[in-house]
Amino acid sequence: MSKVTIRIPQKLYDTIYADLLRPHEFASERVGFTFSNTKILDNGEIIICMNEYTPIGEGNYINDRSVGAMFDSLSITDAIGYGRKNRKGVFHTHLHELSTGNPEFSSTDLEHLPPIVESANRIAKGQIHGLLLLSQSTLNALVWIPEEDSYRKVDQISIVGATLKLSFPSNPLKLQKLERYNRQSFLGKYSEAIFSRIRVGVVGLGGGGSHIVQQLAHLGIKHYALFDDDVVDESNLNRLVGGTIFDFENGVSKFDVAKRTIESLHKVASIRGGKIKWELDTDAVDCCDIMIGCLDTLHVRRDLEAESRRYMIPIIDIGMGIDRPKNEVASIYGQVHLSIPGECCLICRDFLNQDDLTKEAERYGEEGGRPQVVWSNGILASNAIGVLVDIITNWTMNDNKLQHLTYEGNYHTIKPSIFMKTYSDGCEHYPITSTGPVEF
Amino acid sequence: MVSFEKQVEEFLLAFPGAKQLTEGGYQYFYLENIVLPSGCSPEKVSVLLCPQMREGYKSRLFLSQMVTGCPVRNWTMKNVRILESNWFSISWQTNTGLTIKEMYYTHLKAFSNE
Repeated sequence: MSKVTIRIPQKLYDTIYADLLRPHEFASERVGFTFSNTKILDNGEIIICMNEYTPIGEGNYINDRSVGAMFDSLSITDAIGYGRKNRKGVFHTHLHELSTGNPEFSSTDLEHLPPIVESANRIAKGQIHGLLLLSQSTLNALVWIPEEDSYRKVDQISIVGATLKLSFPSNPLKLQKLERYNRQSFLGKYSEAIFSRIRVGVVGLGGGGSHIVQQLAHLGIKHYALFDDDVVDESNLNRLVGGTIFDFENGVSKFDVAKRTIESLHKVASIRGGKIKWELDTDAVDCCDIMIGCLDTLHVRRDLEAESRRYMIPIIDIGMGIDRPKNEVASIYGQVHLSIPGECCLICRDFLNQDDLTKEAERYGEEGGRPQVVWSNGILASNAIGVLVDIITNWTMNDNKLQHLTYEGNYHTIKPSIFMKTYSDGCEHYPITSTGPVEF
Repeated sequence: MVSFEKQVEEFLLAFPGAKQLTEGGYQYFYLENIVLPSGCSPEKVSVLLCPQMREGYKSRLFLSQMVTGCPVRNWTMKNVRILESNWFSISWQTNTGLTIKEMYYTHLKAFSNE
């Protein structure tokens, strides 16, 4: 069976939760419909992006105390009609208010709700429909997969916000206690299990990316999507962690260097991607739970963020530069950005803007490598890994994650950007409703 | 100066199959299977017109494939990812003050052998 993943922005989850929590005049619980867009990847993996919600109208409830909420058929017809018109999946959505962990569908739910999904299957064909059930902290889902002709639990749910809340309904996390991870057990009792389940994408495996991959492998990450179409050059050897003279002399790819690093720490690891640009295997990007961009150019950052936003994947971007004004001391600087779907993007932050993109285009084809050094790449990469671990495990218990760090290499400092306080709440460039496959 | 809305109206009237899309703050018009000037190979491609400033160009036309059989052009964008598809674009600047429809025809002229 193919893996089924549901992704939902934290903000949408909060909206649904707040709506369902409202008391009703006579119904003991509320109901709504959540809409989704689905992508089926080349390996059959199914990614369902939840991106809209509509509550059942006050007047559509029927006063019937035998069940938690009885509502008229018009509200169902409207929801399914909306799904059909807009080519979206339709999910009946309700809340088990007292449930704190992973909620389970009740026998009443399983008796009464499937006909709604069956109606959606008949009317809004070609989409994946199902049931969503929220608890106080997470959600559960049943989906109807047409090819399998049955309901099934989803394999993974990601609530995407400042913390990436992950659950695995079909195969819940189990405690793992390998000796090699003893010293990082403070990250949470399930951190080891989570690290072994998630897939992390890294684009760019040079000066920054090689540090990133090395640290991910030490952390216990076992699923990767790695991209770099370059081979090890002599000029890389001053900073490419894991790269050797042998690699340079034999034209070994940076991808193979990264793969070797991972496989020296894990006997079994799943590594997608390859010695290619990420644009040529985007399914390998879309299946990632989190991306790390170690890119040289602004326009590729823009395009990778667009792809990541489309599939609700947080992306951590690192970059450094060294300015060398004539007869002056060189200046090393850099940044780590955390871009969370639904929150302000790199364009909102003015990190990506037309002026800089134009200047970059004007430099197109210029010869000569830019100055780079191993330690500043390492500092930025280490901080990016720190951000990644924090959003996955929330070990700092801080809901206001740092979304932008600035590095001043001449002073050996990295600190929260002063611009963060100006960042907008939300993003107009990548609305959540525009997630999932593009309909041309 | 014709308003942007009027230009969109004019463009969609001229190309009823065109779809208007947005991503990352850019506007696009998608046209499927348009016929390229004679001599071009392939003869038909899908295109994405971005009628606003992008990478220093006042507008850009992205093609679903690289084209041969036309004058030699500088393909500065290869496999650029936009709206979940890969696109190709040449270095081709358009004048200021053109309507969307005029931009589109100006870009197409770059592939003409005449």
